[in-house]
Amino acid sequence: MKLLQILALIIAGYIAGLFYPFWSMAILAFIIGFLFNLNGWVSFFSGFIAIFLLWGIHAFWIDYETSSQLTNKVAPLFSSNNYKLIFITATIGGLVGAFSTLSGTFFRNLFRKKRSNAYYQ
Amino acid sequence: MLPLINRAFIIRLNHIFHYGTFNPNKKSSWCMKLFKFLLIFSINVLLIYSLNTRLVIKDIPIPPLGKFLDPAQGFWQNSEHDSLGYATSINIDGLKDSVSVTYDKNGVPHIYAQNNHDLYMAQGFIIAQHRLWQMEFQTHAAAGRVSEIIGKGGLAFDRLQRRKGMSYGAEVTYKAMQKDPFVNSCIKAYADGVNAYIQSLSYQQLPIEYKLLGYEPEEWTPMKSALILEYMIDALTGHDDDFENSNALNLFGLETFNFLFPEKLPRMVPVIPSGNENPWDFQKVNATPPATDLPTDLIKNILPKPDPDNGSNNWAVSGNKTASGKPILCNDTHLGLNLPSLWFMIQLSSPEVNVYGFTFTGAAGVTIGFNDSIAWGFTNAPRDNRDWYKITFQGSSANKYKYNDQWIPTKKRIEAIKIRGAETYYDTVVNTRQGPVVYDKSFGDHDAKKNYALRWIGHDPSMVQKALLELNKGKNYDDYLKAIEHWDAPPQNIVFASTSGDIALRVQGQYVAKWPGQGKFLMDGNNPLHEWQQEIPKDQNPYQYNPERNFVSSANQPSVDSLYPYWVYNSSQEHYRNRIINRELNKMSQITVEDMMKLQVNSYSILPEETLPILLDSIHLEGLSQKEIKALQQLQEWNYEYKVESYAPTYFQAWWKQFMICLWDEFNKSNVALTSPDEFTTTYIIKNFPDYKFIDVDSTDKQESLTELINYAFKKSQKDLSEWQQSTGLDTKWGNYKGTFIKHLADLGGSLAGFSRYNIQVDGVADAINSTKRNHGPSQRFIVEMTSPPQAYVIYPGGQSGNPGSILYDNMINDWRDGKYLPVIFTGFNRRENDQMIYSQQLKP
Repeated sequence: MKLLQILALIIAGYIAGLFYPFWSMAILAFIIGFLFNLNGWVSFFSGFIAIFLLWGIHAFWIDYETSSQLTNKVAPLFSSNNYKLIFITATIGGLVGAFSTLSGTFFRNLFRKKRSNAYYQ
Repeated sequence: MLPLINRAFIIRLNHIFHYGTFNPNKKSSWCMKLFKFLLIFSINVLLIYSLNTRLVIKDIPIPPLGKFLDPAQGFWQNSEHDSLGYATSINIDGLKDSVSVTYDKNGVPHIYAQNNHDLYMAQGFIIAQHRLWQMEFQTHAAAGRVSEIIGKGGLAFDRLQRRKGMSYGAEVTYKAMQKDPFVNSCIKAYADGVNAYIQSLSYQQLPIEYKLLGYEPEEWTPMKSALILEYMIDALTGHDDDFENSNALNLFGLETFNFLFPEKLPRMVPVIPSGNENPWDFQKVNATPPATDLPTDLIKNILPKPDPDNGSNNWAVSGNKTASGKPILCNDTHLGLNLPSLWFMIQLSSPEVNVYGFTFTGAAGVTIGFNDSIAWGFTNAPRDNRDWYKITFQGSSANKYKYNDQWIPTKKRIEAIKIRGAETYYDTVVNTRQGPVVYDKSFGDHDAKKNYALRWIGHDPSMVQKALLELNKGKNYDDYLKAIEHWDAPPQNIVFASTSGDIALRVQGQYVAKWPGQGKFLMDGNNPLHEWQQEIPKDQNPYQYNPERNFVSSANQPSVDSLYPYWVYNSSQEHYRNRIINRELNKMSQITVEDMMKLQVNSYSILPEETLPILLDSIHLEGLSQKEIKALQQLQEWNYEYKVESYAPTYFQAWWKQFMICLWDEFNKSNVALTSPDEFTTTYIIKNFPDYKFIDVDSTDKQESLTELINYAFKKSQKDLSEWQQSTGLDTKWGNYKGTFIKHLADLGGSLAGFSRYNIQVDGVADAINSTKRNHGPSQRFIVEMTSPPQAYVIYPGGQSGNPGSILYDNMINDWRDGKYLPVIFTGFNRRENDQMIYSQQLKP
């Protein structure tokens, strides 16, 4: 469980999202991937889950709070219903998060002299 | 973290990630790490890039998905938590003083400004806050710039707009506006207000359409106020049948043409009847008729034209006919039904003006409305405002053309049409004395010999913006007259009522004095006498002021009868709404606002009243199925009201349409464009000339009688309805069959169906006062009783907000459908009635 990294990314991603375009969370995910010593898969899934949750919950909350006023109108564009649209949103965010943390992790690996014991952590 | 995945499996995969191989013992080289990093990093960058970019895959545009779906910045942020979630305090550079904006429960902003500059600046800001995407899109459409947004699919449309001279006309109008200091200052302040709003926006706050289509708003210019006007001029004067008329003339001859397309028929009642009240005692301007022949071209491809049913109803009744003793004025304008709505309701209040009403998004002031003293409204006053000239070029270069038997140089205007995702398209538009050559070897009929120049009222400067701003301030009949002296295009029947008890209606616009027949057909560009010669002085335009019948009314029918000194022509005439309005108003007395509401949503049509008995009399019952006989029974019992729950309107419309198709089969030709006679003329012909030669169906050997056609058409229409029912799965009641819908401006064939409203069960038909068609109908309804202050009732099929994520996007549609109205909260500069208000914004310098 990489709860710390996930939480860090959710919080940082949320704050950055208030001010910057969506790819700001990619940069943060990259940094978190770089800072923490993780192995590839853990890094990938941590990034995915963090942004999946951040985007999914945020979208769900907006949908709930606005009685689906807009979700009802946009969902047909994606040939989906409201929940599927929230899922698509979360998945797309999650993918960006996943590849970004993984990029960060691999970037970190470039500077390591010795074999990492990351996956025994 | 992933308890479901076997640990051994993870470890094995880890080796792949760490070493790029299954072998845990082999040490990975730094190069391998670099390769892995670069690979994943490239995928990452590519992923982010593609999610940040609008893509077109197999001609289907995909919005930039990451940007669009981002809950913190993307479309989710357009979901509105409150109905009016606007900033409560805003600083706007350029304001001279503070402006207060309060919203009533209908979402209507009431703007209170200390001076006119601030008033129109605030109007620009507030309209943009509600409708930015729409106002920009409409001006892009007017200017022929849709391809910039949607790509090459918009090219044909853009070329047509430019070739018609839309931008040219708007430029001419803008120059005229700039010369008038008052108008110039108003549209400039308005533009500054719009720009202040645009500049305040981040991506997060952009209207959803920008996010969806992946572009951003540009700077608003005062020129765009001229473009929005040009858009309306096109909608209201952009229809003619000159080519179709020429084709019919050349195929059938003059005698047959005049029989099938008569200019006058019995039962027609003009807007302003000749008589004691209108003796037309003025000196007429002459138009010299030519002696030469018209071109004999046959034209196949006619370029798209606006809906000829673009029109309106308006009337005003004097206090002698009302219960309150005060005049009541009514207006409803029939245009395409779109979301966001064409209209926006607003009150503008300053020490100089206090006006409430409907405004176009992009024009300063109020277009249809009232103030403390007067009220006004419009219907289109159509005459043939577009004429076509056949141009003969010298050689193929189009550098010179023949005029008055001499070769005159042309002027060329190069239109650069930017296309999204493709290279800019350069279209050379050749200009002649008469106007731009729209049809040529590369456009229209695509024939090097078919070069047709357009002369259109839309090419002349229009000072309608000035007329409106002055009407907004008007206090009495004289002010109204003075204001509308500036009214030129689009020509309108301008109805008027005042708190002092006056009612009036003036047919106002810049009309051309034509020789009889001028511009009815394609004309000869070589002949100077075919050109527009002189304008009709505006003081010779027809009008009524407090007439004896105690009401004035108009519904796009011909404005005058044949006693009017000028020859007046329009290819598509209104014959039904005007008569039902006059019939009802004549009967009425002690009129209340509720009576007027009922009249505006009256769904009775005179068309079936005049034709259905003829059809029913000709029906042979033998051989009909039970279902068909039942349909006939329903038709017999029908009261000619187009109610959504009834079946008779469906049966009649399907039958009549089929009958028209069979009757006018001569007009259905693949190689020549033709328009068949209208319903009114058809009724006249079948009543008075049942043996007319055209009644025979050409494609059969035998001679068909009218009775046979009617019987055949009935059976065919019943069969078609059964098929319709099977293919749609819907019941054939009128509401379903008509299938009224309100379309989002960017919804192309259902691509944005969620933003549109389909299957709206609204009573009425094009020819009824409640003039609803599939995607066309009353775009607003307005009733005002001229008490002091006036009390008005309004509704329109949409909502104040342009944002599909707001409940105010389409909240009025159901009331509009059901014939309900909102009582207007009309305040004053010193009478703000804050207890009626639910929200406020302060705009500060």
